[in-house]
Amino acid sequence: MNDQEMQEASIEEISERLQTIAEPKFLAAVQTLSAGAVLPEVDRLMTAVRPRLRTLRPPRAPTLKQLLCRPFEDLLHSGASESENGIPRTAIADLWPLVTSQDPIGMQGLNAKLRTIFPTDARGIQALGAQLWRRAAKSLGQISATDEAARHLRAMRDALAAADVIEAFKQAVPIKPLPRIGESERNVILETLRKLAADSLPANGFLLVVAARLQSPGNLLEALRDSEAGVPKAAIQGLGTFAIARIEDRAIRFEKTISTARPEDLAREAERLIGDLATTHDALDAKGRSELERRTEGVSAVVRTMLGERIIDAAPAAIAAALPGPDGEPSKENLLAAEAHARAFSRSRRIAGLLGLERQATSVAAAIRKRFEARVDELREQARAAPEQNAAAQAGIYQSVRMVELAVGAREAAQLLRTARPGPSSP
Amino acid sequence: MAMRDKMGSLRTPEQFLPSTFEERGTAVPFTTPMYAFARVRKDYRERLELLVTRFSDGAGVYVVPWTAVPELAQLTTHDTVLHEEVLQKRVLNPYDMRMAALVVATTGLAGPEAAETATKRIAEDEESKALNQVILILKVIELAQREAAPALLREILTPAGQMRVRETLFQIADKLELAPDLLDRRLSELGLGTYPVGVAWSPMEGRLRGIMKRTEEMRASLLAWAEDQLGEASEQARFCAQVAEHTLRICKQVLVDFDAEVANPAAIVAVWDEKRPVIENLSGRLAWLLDGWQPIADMWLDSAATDVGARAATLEEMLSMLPLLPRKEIQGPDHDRVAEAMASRRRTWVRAAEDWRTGEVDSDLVQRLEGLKAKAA
Repeated sequence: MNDQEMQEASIEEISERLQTIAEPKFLAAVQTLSAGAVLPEVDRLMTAVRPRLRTLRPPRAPTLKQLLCRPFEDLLHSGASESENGIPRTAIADLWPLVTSQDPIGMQGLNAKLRTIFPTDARGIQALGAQLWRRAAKSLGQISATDEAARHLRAMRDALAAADVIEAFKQAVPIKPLPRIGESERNVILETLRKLAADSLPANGFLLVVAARLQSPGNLLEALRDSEAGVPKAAIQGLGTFAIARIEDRAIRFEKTISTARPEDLAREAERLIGDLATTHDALDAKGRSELERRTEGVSAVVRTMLGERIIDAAPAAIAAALPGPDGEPSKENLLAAEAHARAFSRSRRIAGLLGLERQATSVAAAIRKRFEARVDELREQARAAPEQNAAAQAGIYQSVRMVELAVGAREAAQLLRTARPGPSSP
Repeated sequence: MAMRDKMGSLRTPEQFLPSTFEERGTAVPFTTPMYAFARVRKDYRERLELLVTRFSDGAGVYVVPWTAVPELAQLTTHDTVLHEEVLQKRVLNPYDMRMAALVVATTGLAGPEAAETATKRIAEDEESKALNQVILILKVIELAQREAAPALLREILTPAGQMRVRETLFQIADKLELAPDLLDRRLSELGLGTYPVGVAWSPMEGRLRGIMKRTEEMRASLLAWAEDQLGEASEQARFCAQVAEHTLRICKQVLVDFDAEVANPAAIVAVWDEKRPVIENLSGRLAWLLDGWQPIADMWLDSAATDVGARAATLEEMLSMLPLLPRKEIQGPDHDRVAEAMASRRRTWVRAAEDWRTGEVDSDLVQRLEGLKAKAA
């Protein structure tokens, strides 16, 4: 085992241990890790333990470093530095000394003041944050506009310069991820852009944060394209680059989970990914579209194969688990699994057309519908022959109607329900 | 469909509030996204109509004749059956709606978990009724013949013990100058009238008391969470907590009155004709006050492990289903402030459901609505 492998193994061991130790020790360990140096290994550990930390939610005031990062925290990621998918957490290690060295006494003063603020005093923390962000933006001063190595520092500086409006936006639009930009969100965004322009502040930091908080960053490009916001071309280009990088990253993560994720989750993510691709493609200019196509070449094929094999082709057998088998009526677990696959199948049909799978999906849907219609006919016959089994037959009929509803559609299920029942009556 | 109110600017905010519970309507647990959180009531011609908020951006409530409901949106099959059930049985109050919803859920059309929960709740209801009845009987005996009560309590599950209870009740009937079967019937009716709330001294909490407790838990949690937040999310959380607080304040008073009325069941049965409407009114009022709160409380309390962004999304959904107090229920010095907040502020937050515009079913929302059924009390 080489050094890298040993390090990975150690991190994994520590991560596993952190998941199982008692709560007080876990919280103490996390506190120590948070206050320490920003290293990739620490960051990986924190990423692994975040789910447990979220459920415990201890009240704690942010550290000064965490508060500093608040305006651009939505842009932070644990990936490689070269990624255009936001700001790598490792970049904070470059930021912190730049900010603290300019005015160490001032920073110490802010830190001391932060320690006196109660953890749940959101207003007090925010007010102190505003002072910190102004100082930090000023400290970062003139960073080279062309130096690639300073790219992340520029992004952080721009976000810090616009920190007040970024925080105001988050308070006005707290939902994250925001599924779509509605009228009210659009108004807030445009109003904020006007304010930034009036104050001669850069818009790109704000725009990137908004994009990061959306389910589909392409939505923002779409919203701005249709407006007269007068956003600088460079900011739009930056947004385009970010949106493309996000999709690329998402596609990579999607591919990694194909073999292990549940069909329902795969179908949901596939739908969002394809939808995101389509929205972003339409919102980009010609150059952007070409870049998007280059970087996501193969994504549609991967999604197509996954959908075709794991969801559409697998649907008849998976959904048939809702039917009685050699062991009798299906268990609740089997029913739930069949329903989950039915939902996944139904969702896959929404994008089947975009992936050349429509005929296959339609054929499978027809087969499923036919199967359950036959089942309903069987049950009606059984009930006619043995009225004392009417209740059991009725239960089976409803179950079949439900499977048709989940897999094929409400309209088809309603038709089946009508034929299966004598007329409006109590269930 | 009724026309949207275009006279908004000439009305006070309070006038947008329904004036009575019947005007507010009973929450219908539909799973069709367009009709999620809608309410049913009768119109001035005694016909059923559905009040829908999800296809207006909080600008008003759309009124749909009940018979037109399946024509405006493709109902889920569960809702098709529920729609018919409500129509046939003219379900217009929270008690009947709950039973109708449970019966329909047992079909499995909202999923196996909802069916299992519904079957369980129906069985629990029967147990609750039976236990409440026993508790009332023992209380009557305790009040009328204190010395006999402890022994009878010990033996009540045995055939001999039950015989002795009957004999004791005969003696009490005699004292109250009531025929034994009349006493029996009155106790039974008292039991039916009180079991949804539960009597104060019962070891098993009544269902409505349980919903009150859960709503109070939600209120406290909302306020605590709001402290940590700024901006819209904080305001919305406080607003939800405020509406819950006003509702709970009235519930607590109703409960105090209810408990006072039911404290002496022996005295009640003697003048049952006079007391019956009082008790049914108090029990009914509590059911109306709490109508629609349980799924809201469940949504909020179940979102505890999620982050701020996800909780904000939950809050927004809660706002669209928040049961505002009818005008006649808002009393006291807070009247204007509460009325204004409830009527006008919520309207700026409620969004339309996107699905009616695109025609696509929001299958995630359907699944969440079915999930609420799986937890229903």
